[in-house]
Amino acid sequence: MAELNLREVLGDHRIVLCGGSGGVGKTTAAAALGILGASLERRTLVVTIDPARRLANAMGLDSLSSSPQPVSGADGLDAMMLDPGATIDELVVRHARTPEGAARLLANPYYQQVASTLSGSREFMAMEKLYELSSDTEYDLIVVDTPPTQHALDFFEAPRHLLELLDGSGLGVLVRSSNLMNRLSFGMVHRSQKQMAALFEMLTGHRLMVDVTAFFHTYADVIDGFKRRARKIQEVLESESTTFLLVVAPEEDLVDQADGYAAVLHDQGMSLSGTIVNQTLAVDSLRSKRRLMAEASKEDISAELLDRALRCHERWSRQARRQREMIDEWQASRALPVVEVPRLGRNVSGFDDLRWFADRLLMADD
Amino acid sequence: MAEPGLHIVSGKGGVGKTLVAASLASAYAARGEQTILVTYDVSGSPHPVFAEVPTYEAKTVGANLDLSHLDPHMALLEYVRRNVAFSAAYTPVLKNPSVRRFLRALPIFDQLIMLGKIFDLATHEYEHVVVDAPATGHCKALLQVADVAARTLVAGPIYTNSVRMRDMMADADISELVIVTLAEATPAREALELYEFTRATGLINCNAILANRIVPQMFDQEEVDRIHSFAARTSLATPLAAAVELHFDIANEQAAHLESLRASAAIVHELPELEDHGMEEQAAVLCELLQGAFLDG
Repeated sequence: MAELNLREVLGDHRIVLCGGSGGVGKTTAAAALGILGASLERRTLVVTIDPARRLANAMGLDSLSSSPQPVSGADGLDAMMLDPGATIDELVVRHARTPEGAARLLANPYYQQVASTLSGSREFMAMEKLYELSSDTEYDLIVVDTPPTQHALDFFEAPRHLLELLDGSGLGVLVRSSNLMNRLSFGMVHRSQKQMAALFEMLTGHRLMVDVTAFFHTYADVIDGFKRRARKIQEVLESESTTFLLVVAPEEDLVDQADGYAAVLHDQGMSLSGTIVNQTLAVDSLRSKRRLMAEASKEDISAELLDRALRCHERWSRQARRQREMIDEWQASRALPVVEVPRLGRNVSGFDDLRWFADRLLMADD
Repeated sequence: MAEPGLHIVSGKGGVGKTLVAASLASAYAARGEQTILVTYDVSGSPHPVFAEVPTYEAKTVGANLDLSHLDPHMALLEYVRRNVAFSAAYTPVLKNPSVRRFLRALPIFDQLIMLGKIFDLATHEYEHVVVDAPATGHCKALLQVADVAARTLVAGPIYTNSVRMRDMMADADISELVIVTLAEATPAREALELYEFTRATGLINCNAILANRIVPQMFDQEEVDRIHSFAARTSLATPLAAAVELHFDIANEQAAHLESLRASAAIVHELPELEDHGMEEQAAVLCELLQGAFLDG
């Protein structure tokens, strides 16, 4: 069974990203990894996204700053928070070659309608920040908390879809012309493209075609900037000094999630160093029920209460066993190193809880 | 108020949405009403409750119960075949990879076609359509798509259909959203956001929130304290006290989240924790419960 050696992971890499879907304790894990990094004498920065206030307070971040601040309680550890309010409009403005180009795109009716339904901007901006930080020599180690998403893979897929939309390379052959209707009437466009345009227009009306055409003409100002940035980001993510850790809750779909994540990272040429299974159940077994019952009868524990307590213990033992079996089976069939962090029994609040979490992460290799 | 025939089941990943959607579909089928369960899952694996791989072509998986997978490409082909003259000429075009990429790159198009298929099933073929919809954020996009299309397009059959779909979605006699959640911080927060989103926009009526995996409280504080003292004197009892405290804390946390969900005026139904049973059994139990609590309520 491969235990995850986080001392090694944090020592060998410059950038460590915590991936996973929302609500599994990613931010807590990232903060704890930051503490660990600093304790290894590495100048460490934790970049978090949208942490709950409690966590912000524990890390000394009640001022929600988007520039690094030292974390009191841990020497050599800084923390910062990414602006959670990122929108696609901001991305467009930032990457457009000219302000006029940005303005034209933002004014396009088609863009306006679809922009609100698009996701990916937050993830893209997280990646951009990462790219900026990667060349910041002040830090030996950067731990990144990825945005909470519906699915762990959204972090990769959302920006790609965003790029695909803005790139429209599938549309390229249809629209890379100054006037689509003119091209059609001169018969200069390939027959199938003509059919596609005609079909699309018939289904959606002429007005949309005009808007979409205009949209893809104006995107040209923006897309080059995006693509260049995306390429650079990709290089950072694929670098040998960058690695991912997946954070999951011990649920039934844990295996599928982890496999899916590992597969995508592998396809992208990125490294997955291991998985942190958060909030596992730890229920010790009872050594002797008979002796327990005997002792209980001497105390003010009624037989009925004891029976209830025993049933309760049995129920949670079964659940813990199921979790155990699932995790063991999964580890046996994959080479992926794992570390488990048990339930704390209450929400993480305060620096001591973060230290506790950090200690549990290290217990794997003790 | 008439009972709706279209039920969109949404919820954060991991809350048991697939199980609940399957159980809900079984509940309607058990009443003798022709029902279809529609999934978005692209994995190609067999459905965890019905053990069949969902295909675009509907498969019968029980009495009055069919299962189908929503494939946007197949849905578009069907739409064109049925609605466009000389459609055979367009089929090769639609199968062209760069054309398919183009269509995928238009975010509202894909979802619009799938929504069209869903409404088609609901108006022509089945008394109940239960949709195992994407998780919360993606579900929001699905709920908005007909409205966005109606505002973006101004003519053409898709425009006309979009307006109709938007109206049918907003009609509580036709459609409803069912939100599945857990009584835990993140899922409950997202469930509440989605619920309030539907109230604020009027895009769809959300009748109820289903809180899954609810654990009944078994102890009061006094009993927990007594067991703790017991463990302090008898180390044998330490694991017992730990389990009791764990249960007490979890049940209390859940109760607090349920309260805040109810405080928003949402009707919240509780579904029990059933991890001991296999998926099929769980679905059978939930089916019974839903028939009692949800369908008649």
